[in-house]
Amino acid sequence: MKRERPSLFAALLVSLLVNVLLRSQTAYWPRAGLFSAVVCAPLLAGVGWLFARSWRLAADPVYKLLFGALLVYTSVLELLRLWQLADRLYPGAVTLTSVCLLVVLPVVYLRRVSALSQTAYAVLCLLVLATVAMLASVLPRLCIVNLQTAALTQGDFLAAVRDQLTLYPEYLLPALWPEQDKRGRHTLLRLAAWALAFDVGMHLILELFYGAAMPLRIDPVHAAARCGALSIFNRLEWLQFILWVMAVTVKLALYLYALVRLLGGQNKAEDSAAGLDRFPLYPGGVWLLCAVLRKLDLDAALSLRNVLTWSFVGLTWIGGAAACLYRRLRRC
Amino acid sequence: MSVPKAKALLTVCAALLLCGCGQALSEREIVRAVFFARQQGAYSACLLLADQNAESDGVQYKTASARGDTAAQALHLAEDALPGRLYYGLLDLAALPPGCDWADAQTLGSLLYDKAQPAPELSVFVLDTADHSWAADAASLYEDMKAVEREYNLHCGLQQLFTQADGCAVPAYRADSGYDFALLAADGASVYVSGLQAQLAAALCGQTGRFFTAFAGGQAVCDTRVNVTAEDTTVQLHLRDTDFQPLGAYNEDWQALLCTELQQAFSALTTDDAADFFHLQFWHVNLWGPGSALPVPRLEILFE
Repeated sequence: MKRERPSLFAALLVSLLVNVLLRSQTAYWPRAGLFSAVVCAPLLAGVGWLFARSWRLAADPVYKLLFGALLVYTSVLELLRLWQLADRLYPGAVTLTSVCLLVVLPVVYLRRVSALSQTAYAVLCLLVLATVAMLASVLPRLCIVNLQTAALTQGDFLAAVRDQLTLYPEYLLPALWPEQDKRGRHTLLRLAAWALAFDVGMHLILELFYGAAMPLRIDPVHAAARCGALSIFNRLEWLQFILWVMAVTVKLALYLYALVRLLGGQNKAEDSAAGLDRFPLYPGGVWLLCAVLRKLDLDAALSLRNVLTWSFVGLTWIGGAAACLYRRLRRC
Repeated sequence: MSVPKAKALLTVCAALLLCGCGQALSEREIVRAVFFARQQGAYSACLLLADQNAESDGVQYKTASARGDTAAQALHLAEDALPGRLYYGLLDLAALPPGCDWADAQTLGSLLYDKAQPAPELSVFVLDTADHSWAADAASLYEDMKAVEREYNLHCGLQQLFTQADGCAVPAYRADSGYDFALLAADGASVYVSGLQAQLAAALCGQTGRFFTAFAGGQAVCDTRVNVTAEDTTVQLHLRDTDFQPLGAYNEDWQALLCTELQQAFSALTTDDAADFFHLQFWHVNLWGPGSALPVPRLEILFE
């Protein structure tokens, strides 16, 4: 049965959680992250809320185009990140084209918001189950004595804050959703809190697993999943990897939905979908960009994305403030 | 061929191609163990492989070895000597060169970590000092080391080389019986211990759950399940289902003798504080905070 008002909270959450799982290296020590998360979660929620307020006032075609470009750029980075991960783990086995097809083609089924919402809930449940299964399978290798006892320095806290204040487009997307009440209460705060709690939790598990070697390990979550062995699955890495591919698909479908809302006009029906006639433009464009940018230094590109997102948010705030000021002046 | 069958066949072929399984299994060189040795400043690496073309039943092995200036070069040359594509997915044992120190262990560990995908939890041993011919001995060394693991309930994973910043502890293979234990400090000399001391060190490092060794100058054998708990710097050694077997016509208080020997071994192991091998500093810091001086650790033996 289709829900009248499908919520996209699960899709947003899955998109944020997959960032943690696909991380190529850990960023901070969990003790520092725990303290900084308390500050960063409300801060991120506040930034998203302020952006949504400004967006309603300032949204014009230039802003929409900029936001659209940011989403396309992020889609390309996500695909490249997944491909580079697959290439590191299984060298020569997976080509960029096959990753693009694997991830982008299922998006054709997720063009409608109701399908996206339901799939996102299913993927979220599977992701939680797979993470619990992975934890259960590596439990004997999580040692309390692997926790580090060195006193934390200011640099550790700064590293944690810097990483947690990465502004993903997911924090900005609720501003595009048509109805305020569809988002639920404190959506952004819940989103930021869950994402950061998961991030810190994964860092803690990785510290229990790797000990002092945690910051050095490349693809730490996947390497930990490799060590797990249950009776059904000899190694859980493939299960994890398939789920991550599904999560990235949900993420791209979410971006496509946002692009449709941005570039297709606000007056479209809520359950609108990208038309099948125009749909090939999206995978084709993304694949072409991926092929052009395949040699990109991903770490630098992800940092640049963060800077661009913050700049865009700043620009929208300025636009929103100017629009607000202009209205007040007109009323006077 | 009916249409559904053709579709099924196509799907299977596509799945195989996508999964990278297009290559026949027999063309893969399945690596089961990697041995390193150091000879006159150069490294020698030996790959023990499952021989898939052997005609007799049971698992048969073949070897490929090479020498190089560095361990990585030796391993690379050994790999090059093989015709098929190397598969490290079933690798479950690695042996470090005899007398290796912390820096060697880290270098070789990192090298294996890169190679050993997807099996980073393979077991690690330090090789004994006897001369080995790789072609003749590699298979028996592999079987022996796996037997030691089973017999003594011992496991040191590759990951354990990296979990501590100040050192690592690795069991060392010996040909006769039991095993030695290597304590490799980052800023200090490497220490190799044997006998009861080695088994106590392994238990304190969390690498074994069983003592099975001779003690009291070889007068008796002790077989017991062991578990370690720590309270600040007091280490409690829980010995369960302890069984003493005299090796001659002796009649002593074996329990007291074992306790004395364990206490001596514990004192000897904890005198050198080059690294926190037994995590005593960890528990102490958790209670009293970083920077507090570590008092002399104490061993409490509990028979249960």
